[in-house]
Amino acid sequence: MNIIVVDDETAALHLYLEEFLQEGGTLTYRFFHDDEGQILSFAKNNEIDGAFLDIRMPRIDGFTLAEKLIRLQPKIKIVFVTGFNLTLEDLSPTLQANVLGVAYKPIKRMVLDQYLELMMHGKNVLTVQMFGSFDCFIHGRLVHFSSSKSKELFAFLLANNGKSVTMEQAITALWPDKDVDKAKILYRDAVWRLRSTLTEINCPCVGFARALLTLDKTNIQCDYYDFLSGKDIYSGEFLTSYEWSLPYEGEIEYILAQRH
Amino acid sequence: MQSSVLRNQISSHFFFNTLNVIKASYHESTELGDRALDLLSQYYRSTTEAGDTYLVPLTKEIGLITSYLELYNLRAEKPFRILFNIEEYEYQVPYFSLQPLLENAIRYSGVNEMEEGYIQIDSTKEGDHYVLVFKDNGKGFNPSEIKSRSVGLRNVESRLRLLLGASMKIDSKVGEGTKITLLIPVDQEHHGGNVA
Repeated sequence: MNIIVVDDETAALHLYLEEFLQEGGTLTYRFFHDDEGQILSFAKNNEIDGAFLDIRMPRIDGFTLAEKLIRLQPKIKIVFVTGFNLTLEDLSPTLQANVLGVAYKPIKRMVLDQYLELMMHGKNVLTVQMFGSFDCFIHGRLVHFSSSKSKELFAFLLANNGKSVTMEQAITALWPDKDVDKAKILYRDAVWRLRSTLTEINCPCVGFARALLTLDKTNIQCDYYDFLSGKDIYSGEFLTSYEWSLPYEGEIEYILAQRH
Repeated sequence: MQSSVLRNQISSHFFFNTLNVIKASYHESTELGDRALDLLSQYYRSTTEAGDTYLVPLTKEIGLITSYLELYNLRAEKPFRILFNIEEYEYQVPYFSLQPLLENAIRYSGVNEMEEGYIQIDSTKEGDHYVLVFKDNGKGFNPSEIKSRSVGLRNVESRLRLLLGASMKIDSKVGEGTKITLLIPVDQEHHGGNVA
């Protein structure tokens, strides 16, 4: 994948892109100051998949540059980089079609990773590990949940393999010893936190309806799901931290017995 | 209405304290320092986006106070917990309306020093109103003695009234806790204010 970075100052993106490459990522990037002639000449002669453009530079503005780049490379994906506040709704329709979003300074490594993955694959994939302890990874990094119960709730939903989960089911499994009213509050708190986490990592895989959670498995890569579709990868342990996982473990043993 | 209240949201005391925390965090690890720095810029960005006449979705307002609390907890010996008992969230509130409530809870409730202490936000719909409750089970106070801390609350109350035709009720009892109830009409068509 080829990308360009345009900024009148030396971008912090440099640092993260170098880190990305050192960690084994593959891409080539070219850095440009705000020299429009140089940039457009490069764009005429090279294929560019994505561009990170500063908005306010002394010699050119990022929006005009973006429009010119899109004319030369209609499939190019643009990310605006800025310290200012930006509303994407105000952009022209031509721009909106190609703009992935905004990266606010100070740049976050996770934001860069999200955009790079979108540029490369058009989507963000969540990697889920359920054999052993439960963990989720996005762009190779561990996902941090804001509470242990919101993490456990996500595990419970994932364990149900696409079947929706009702509030009652979740409460019975996760808060078996609490009185119902308190448990409902704790459930809603976990739901709220889970929603925030998934929004932050840009993985909208959970549907939040009234007292019901649904799962979209499309962009999820999960060892348990791979096992269910035939792969022989069971490690002997399933969601070790959660007491309610026992029946699921039983089912796995049963499936294994059928297979051998 | 005083726009200066909003400009002072990121008071110098809070700001410099946080810079201090960021510095200390970097000595622990780069990741921790980055986390603290990101939280501060996220929070500061929110303050620059705000204006007195803005209304924002409840989700955004809760996001704002969550950042603020996380920042506070970074340098607090005893952190605060919030429970989000949210059933309805698709409605607008004035930007920085929950913020002063949280600041008061941090300053006066003492729930971080109680074993079962908590701050809780309820959001439901009852008839033709959204009911947004901000409460804690802490020290409480005598409502007739709230002169010193009422400026922030009065500002919230004015904006609620003028922007949404909404009302605010304060209930508190010493030793039992504090409950602030915001009643926001579902029909928000007939009021002024810009939607962010």
